Amino acid sequence: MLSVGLILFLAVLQGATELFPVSSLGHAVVVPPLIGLSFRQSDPAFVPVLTVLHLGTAGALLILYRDQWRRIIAGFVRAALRGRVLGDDERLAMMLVVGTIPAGLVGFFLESRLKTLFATPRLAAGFLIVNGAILLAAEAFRRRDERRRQVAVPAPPAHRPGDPEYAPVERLTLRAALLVGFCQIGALMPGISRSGVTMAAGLVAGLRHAEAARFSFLLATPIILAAGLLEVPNLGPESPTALVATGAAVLAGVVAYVSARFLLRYLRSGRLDPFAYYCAALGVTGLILIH
Amino acid sequence: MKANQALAIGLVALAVVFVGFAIFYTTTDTGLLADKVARHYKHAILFAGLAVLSLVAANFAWRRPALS
Repeated sequence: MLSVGLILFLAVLQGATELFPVSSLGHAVVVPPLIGLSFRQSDPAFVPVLTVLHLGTAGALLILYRDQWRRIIAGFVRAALRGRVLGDDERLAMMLVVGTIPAGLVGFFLESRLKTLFATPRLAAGFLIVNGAILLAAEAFRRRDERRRQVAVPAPPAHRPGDPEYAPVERLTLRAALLVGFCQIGALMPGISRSGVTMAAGLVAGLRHAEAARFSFLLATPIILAAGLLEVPNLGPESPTALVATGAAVLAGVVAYVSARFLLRYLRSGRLDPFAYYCAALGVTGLILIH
Repeated sequence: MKANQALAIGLVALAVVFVGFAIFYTTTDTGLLADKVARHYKHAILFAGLAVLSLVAANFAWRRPALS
């Protein structure tokens, strides 16, 4: 049985790392052995705890984008009945559907098997390094593209707030949304971040940094929410008490909300490089210290 | 028959198959595409969702201007 302190620690860890491009699952596998916590993912209480934490994180995303989700759902219903997409909300709704299907299907059928195969601390540490490399590669691609555009249209070379030459999410093509969705499949490996790969793919597809983060968060919401809700019927006697579960979900949600707001603000002018170096450093540390 | 209409009919047929799977998982203990033999209501929900999406896609294909 997990202690209350450990559950609250996992809530903070989950809330902080689920939306940052640093892999929450990788952290849940690598960090406990690094700081000497005697905790195993095979503990029967772990899945129920993870379920309530997912619900907290999904709740934070729904609150953060509540107005957009209202418009997206209405847009989806309108477009589905009409059989044609008109307007930005309907377009965004269809992109989210198309982008969610690949990882949703693969995750549904293979996630538990992949976790069983790959959720070892050393392997997750290795994937954290790969995650860092993906973020750096995406930023290198973007820098090269910015230099190329500068040649075509004279403009300051640095990544500027707003990235006026790059697109908002609503201008993404359906094919690009599908490709971003396929990239999400990689995040089933512990250590590869869902938000990391989708933000990286969004940058490569030509989105502004903050828009890539917005698309990543919107894309993550249905999957995180479904992952939580579908496990609710399986909550059993090993589950934490209602008070602890509610507290952990709220804590994860609050931390996730603050993390998302921070990240969206940071990415108005910042890049993903610091997260890449952090992932690489944690991965290397894990490979060295965990045996 | 136009290509879009054929695609739409194919998608409706796919939706029917998905509905069949949803009913199968709701009514039968099975280990098909699952870890253990049991009633897999989560699978049923998934296939019901896929059926709805197939019908939506069929509606788009049917109303789309003809390709040929």
